[in-house]
Amino acid sequence: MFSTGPAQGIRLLIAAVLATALMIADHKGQHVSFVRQAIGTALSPVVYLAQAPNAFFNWFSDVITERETLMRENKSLKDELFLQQTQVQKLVALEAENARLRNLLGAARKTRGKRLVAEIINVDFASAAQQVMINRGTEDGAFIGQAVLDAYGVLGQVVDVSQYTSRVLLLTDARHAIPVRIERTGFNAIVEGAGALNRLKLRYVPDNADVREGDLLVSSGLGQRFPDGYPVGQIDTIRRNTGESYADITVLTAARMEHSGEVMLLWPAEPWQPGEYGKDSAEQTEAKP
Amino acid sequence: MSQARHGTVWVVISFLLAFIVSMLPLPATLNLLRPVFVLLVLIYWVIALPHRYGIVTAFLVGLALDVMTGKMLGMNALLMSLIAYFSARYYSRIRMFTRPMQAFYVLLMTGLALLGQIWIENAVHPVAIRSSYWLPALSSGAAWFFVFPLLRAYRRRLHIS
Repeated sequence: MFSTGPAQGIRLLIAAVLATALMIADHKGQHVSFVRQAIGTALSPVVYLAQAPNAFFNWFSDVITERETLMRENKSLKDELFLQQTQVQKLVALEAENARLRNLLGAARKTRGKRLVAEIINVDFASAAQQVMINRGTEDGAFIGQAVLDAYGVLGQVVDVSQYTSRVLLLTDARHAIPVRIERTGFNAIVEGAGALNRLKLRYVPDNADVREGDLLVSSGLGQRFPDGYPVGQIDTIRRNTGESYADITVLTAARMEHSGEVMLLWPAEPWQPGEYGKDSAEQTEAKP
Repeated sequence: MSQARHGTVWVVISFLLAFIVSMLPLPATLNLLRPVFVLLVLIYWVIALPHRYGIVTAFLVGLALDVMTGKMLGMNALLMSLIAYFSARYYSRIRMFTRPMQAFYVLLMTGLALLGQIWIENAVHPVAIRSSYWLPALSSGAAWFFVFPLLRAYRRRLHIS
């Protein structure tokens, strides 16, 4: 046996020093992100294997579903698609009008950037940090700071990438903040995570500001990280405290964070260039510090 | 020498399995009760084969756990190294423990890891925790009752020594 006392003690000391150095380097910035990325990439098979039972169950339930159920589902999906398409027609006209108006104002015309559907593979609500893992990484062009949406609104942003997976910090994390605009009044404010599921706090809104319960908050795009105009949440309760300069406002997220499923990764839209319409813009996106 | 190195692959596989189990998607309530399987497996191997698995193993496993759970790099590496140190130091005593006492030891170690984690995270930025934060310590202690026999059978079956 060579698990003798002093040797173990020295090993522990070395491990502690190394770990502390890593923690400091990690905390002070992105100095050790290559270590993280390498380990993350090496472990991605584990992530996929952990996902396998779920994927199998989904596949299996698809296989054994009755024909009638499938036809009913098909019908309802077709109806929904029809509805959405009629709405999109209106959107095309609006987009054109918007572009014309922006031209008149001399503002840059905006096109939609590249987007990509990703799947959530692990939800970890047990810890204090609210994060999810998704099945897209640097291989697909994901980058740190990228905006992530779900079907109903802004979900969060990418904080950590490896080759095939990345980690998304949710809006509800206490460390997260996003600049928003109140849709009804155009008032700009900041929404912070409350650390609880689907809860946010609207910060720095003066006591006498025009806010109402039920007001819709959309991303304002001021932080240059999230594109503007995507729903962030809806004001739930307002408490005005006499003697305090700011009101206590809680917000419910538009995104439904308890449902793990599909999410959308967004690449920043570029100013419109003639002849480049519809071209993917992923090549020119760089991770912002 | 080849005899002494026997079964390293199987030990690595047992850790990979522990990682997979700790990443399996579970309903939210069960998720709160998920034992820290990686830590259980680590404690088992350190107690069973202290001359082969100790602080170095713990450090590497902890680093992997940090990446998997998105924690600060090095946090779990530090905590796991500490736990491996204790377990390697007192392995002969822990082996003599009755099963419930061993489970209590595991509970204590998991609690210590959770405590250390909250200390370190709090030092960086204040975090709020609910009482459910401590549940994994209880469930890890309980899980020892079936993880230990399972791993012992695994070790004997594959002649890992």
